[in-house]
Amino acid sequence: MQAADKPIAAIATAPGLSGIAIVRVSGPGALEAARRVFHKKAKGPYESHRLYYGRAMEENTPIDEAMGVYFRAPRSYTGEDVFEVQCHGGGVAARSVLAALLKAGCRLAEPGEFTKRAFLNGRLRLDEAEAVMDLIAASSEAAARSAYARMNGALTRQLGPLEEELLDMAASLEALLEYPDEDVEEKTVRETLGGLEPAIQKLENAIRGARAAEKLRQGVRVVLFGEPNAGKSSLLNALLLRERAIVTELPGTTRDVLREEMSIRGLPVVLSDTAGLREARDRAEEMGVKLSRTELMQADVALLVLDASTESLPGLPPFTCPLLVCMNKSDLKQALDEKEVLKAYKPAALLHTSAVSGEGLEKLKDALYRQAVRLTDGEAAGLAGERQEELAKEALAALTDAREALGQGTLDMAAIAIRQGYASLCAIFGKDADESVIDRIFQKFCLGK
Amino acid sequence: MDQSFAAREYDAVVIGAGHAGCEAALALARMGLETLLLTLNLDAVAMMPCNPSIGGTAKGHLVREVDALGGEMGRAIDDTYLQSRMLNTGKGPAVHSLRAQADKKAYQKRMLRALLEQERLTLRQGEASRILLDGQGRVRAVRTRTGGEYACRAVVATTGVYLKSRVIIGETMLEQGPSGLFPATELSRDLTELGFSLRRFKTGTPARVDIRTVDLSKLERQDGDVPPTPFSFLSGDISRPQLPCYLGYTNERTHEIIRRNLHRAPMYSGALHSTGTRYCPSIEDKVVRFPDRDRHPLFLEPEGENSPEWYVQGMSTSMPEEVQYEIYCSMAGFERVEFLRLAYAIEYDCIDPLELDGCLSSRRIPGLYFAGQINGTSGYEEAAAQGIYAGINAALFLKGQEPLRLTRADAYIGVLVDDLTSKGTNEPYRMMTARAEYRLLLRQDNADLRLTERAYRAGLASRERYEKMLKKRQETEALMEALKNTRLPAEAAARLTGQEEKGPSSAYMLLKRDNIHVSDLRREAELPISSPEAEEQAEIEARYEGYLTRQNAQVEQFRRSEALRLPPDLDFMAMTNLRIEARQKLTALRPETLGAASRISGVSPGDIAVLLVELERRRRREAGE
Repeated sequence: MQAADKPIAAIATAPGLSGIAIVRVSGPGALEAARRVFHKKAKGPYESHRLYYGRAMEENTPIDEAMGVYFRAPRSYTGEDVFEVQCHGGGVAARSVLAALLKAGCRLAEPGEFTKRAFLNGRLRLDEAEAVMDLIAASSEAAARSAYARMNGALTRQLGPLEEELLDMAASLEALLEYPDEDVEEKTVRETLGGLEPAIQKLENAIRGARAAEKLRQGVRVVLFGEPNAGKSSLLNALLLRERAIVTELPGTTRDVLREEMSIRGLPVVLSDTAGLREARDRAEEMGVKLSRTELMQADVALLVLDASTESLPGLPPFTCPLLVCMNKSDLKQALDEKEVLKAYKPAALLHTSAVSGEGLEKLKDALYRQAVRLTDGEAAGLAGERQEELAKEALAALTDAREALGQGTLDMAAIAIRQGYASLCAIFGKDADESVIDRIFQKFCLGK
Repeated sequence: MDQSFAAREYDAVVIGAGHAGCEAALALARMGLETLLLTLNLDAVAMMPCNPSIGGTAKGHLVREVDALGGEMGRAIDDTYLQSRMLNTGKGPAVHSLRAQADKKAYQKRMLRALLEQERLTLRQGEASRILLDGQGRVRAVRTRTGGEYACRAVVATTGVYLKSRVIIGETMLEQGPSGLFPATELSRDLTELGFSLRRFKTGTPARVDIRTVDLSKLERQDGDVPPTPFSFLSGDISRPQLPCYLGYTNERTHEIIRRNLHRAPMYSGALHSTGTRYCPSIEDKVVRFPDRDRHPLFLEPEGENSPEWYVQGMSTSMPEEVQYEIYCSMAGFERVEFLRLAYAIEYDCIDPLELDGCLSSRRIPGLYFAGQINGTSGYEEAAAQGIYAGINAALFLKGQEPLRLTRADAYIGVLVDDLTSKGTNEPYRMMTARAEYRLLLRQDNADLRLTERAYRAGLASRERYEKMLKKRQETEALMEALKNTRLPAEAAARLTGQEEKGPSSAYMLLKRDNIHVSDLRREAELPISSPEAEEQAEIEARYEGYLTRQNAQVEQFRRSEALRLPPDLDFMAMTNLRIEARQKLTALRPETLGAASRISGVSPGDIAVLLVELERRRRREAGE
């Protein structure tokens, strides 16, 4: 069974396109966990059943503007302490919020678990229990089916061999501990355990692959920023027109950030055009500038657009991703010195572009492609869904523990950690780890009096 | 035998005086019940028909737990050991395991004395042939083959390997128990009539050799620990001269002889169909299954202090006599070996432990308990552990008190009983540390802290034992507090760690470092006086704090699901929301708790959720909500 001591979290709204997505947290400690992710603007303690405006953050990185509601137990859907974060729909924001909540100490809810808890806490009537069980049965069947579907796919190719390797490691170590007098050679065991480091790498790759898959689904976020009139919008249009590959036009989440989806050499990219960065002159512009900054914090690639016909070198707002710089308006007389630009920003790439003549656009696309490829690289995306990713992270954490325990020579702790890692990995494939380690000990080693 | 007569009345009858029966009978009598212990042969009480040792990995944990509950095995081996070693000392505290070589005859005498001196306990030679029930299907009496009917309300059946046992040496089959003793011929039929399905398990034992005919110079000598660690929490210093053991190896010629004679080994010739164990493979098994190995180790172990008879661990076989000689003589040091006893395989009847509940009581017949090899286990320690557990629970049943349930989070005994009664076993079951998921908490050094209080409250552990445990607990707590409150200046810390220290540290934080012990800290700081046992506890708690905290959290969660009991009348087949596999498994295994249900393979988290909802539905219906 899953840990009952952690609050549970999941996206409560149906997947697909909708304006708003709700991420729900339930259980003792729900408020505490939610507060680490949702930061309300208003001061003072939370009141129950009140809607707060604020920001969802993953550690120090803003995810989205959001609303939050706290429902104090027992006056909530589940009858427990519940916190709901309402963020923008479309998937990305909600999944990021959920990921942040899982990092903040929640665990992913089982299928139907909110409803189950609601029933167990007396929030649903007796005659509704049957419906609850149907729901659980249906969703766990669905989960099982999709788990089965994955078994033959990329996941098996990627992590399947690891299952065997971990089983061998666990069995070797257990045999060494179980039969101290016999011919279980420490050398053989050490050799087997040499696979631990590669196993950790494989899991890290798989998790990175999951993120890459996310990028492939959602698009690599490229955020254009710069001073007003540097030519951001025209550059954006030029990119879009030239490529003639507009997939959809997503309405901006605010009137001040425009997001366009396009494909660059086959990779999906979401281009965001932001309001010019400067001292705001009125309240509307202030809001716009603020949103630009938020957008930039979530960027995968930051694209600074400079007006090369002026001498202005604006200061950089905070962001965490690689920076590309476009010296735009290359068709006009150049006032900016390339060396100074390089010195000022140390960008990953520097390009000369003109939205008017089309100069440098292909090179810009090349540069964007290189960045996008880096992000979507890694093993083919095997881990699908938060549940599998969570299990992979659990396995990774356990194996990291095992590495530490081996370093300290406490083989008993290492054995336990490897067993846990193995169990988490088995759970990804929907298998039970149970007796297999003991079976393997006796397959592999000749032991016993 | 139709003729019967009313013999004496008892509260409980224990059938069989092996390691399970002795502990069961002692527990019952010590808890105030009039108890009869029946044995096929009074000279075979607490006999060790196989290896002359007690303990080892996981088994040593079990002995410590038996002792912590107030059992006899630990004290008996401390009194009669020939050599003692703590195994796995360099591999972490969870797997430290104590093992002692036993003087078999001395051990038997020691246990016999404990039985004879025990108030309310009657020892008698006699073969139980029937377990009689009253009109309501409850235990009423045990009848012996000679017609005596011993009235009782509880029975603990600990028949070991004696039920219809058969000894196999090559082509020779003998209707015998171990070591030439009589088998029990009647009880199997009675158990079948009582509705138990019997199975046939098999085990084996190596030859015993005359040590005077072995060239010990060709073998490697192994000595015991000085000083030895006692098994019992009550024993003080048990130091005395110890005997060595010897290590040798088989070789290619040995393997060649075995391969050439495989058709004469009953397991391979098809003469034997019973289920053997992977845990104690015969030498022919090892050679067949691991053809790449050019040698297998063997250990020569003494059977008694002044006995020339030595046990050859690792060399059990069911080959014919002349092949046995050929095999043994092929090994270095054994060229001129003489046998005192032949190696043999033995097969016997046992029940399916899935028919038992979590207290080792029959699910159908109130008052009927089973313990030891009859439940499909192997090993003296596994037997003793089940024996004391069944004995305690039979006593509590007779007194009308709540059972003492040990779970997987309480003890290795809990793991053993849960494995047997909720998973079952298809081969003789051996305890292993790898089976205990909470093994960082279930250490052999803290068995008393885990179990003695509960056994004391149940009326088994003595006041002396209880107070000794309390003292250890209090000393540990006082020491832990002092360690956390004692700050050592940087210079003092540096003297201990042998490296530069940036600032002061608490004694507790220093204890987390490698190779710093409480005794080292005492050189630099004033700490309360405490026993080495309390210091060991403090050191383990400090050094493994992170791991222990994590396991404690897991245990917490385990206990919650264990607290939810599944009513016995729950009809899983009617619960259509359960997946079909889950319905079938749950119906067959009838778990007692939600936790036990969740451990059944084929029962998914979704199924568990369905059960939870069903439990709540029932609760509300009963509460009239």
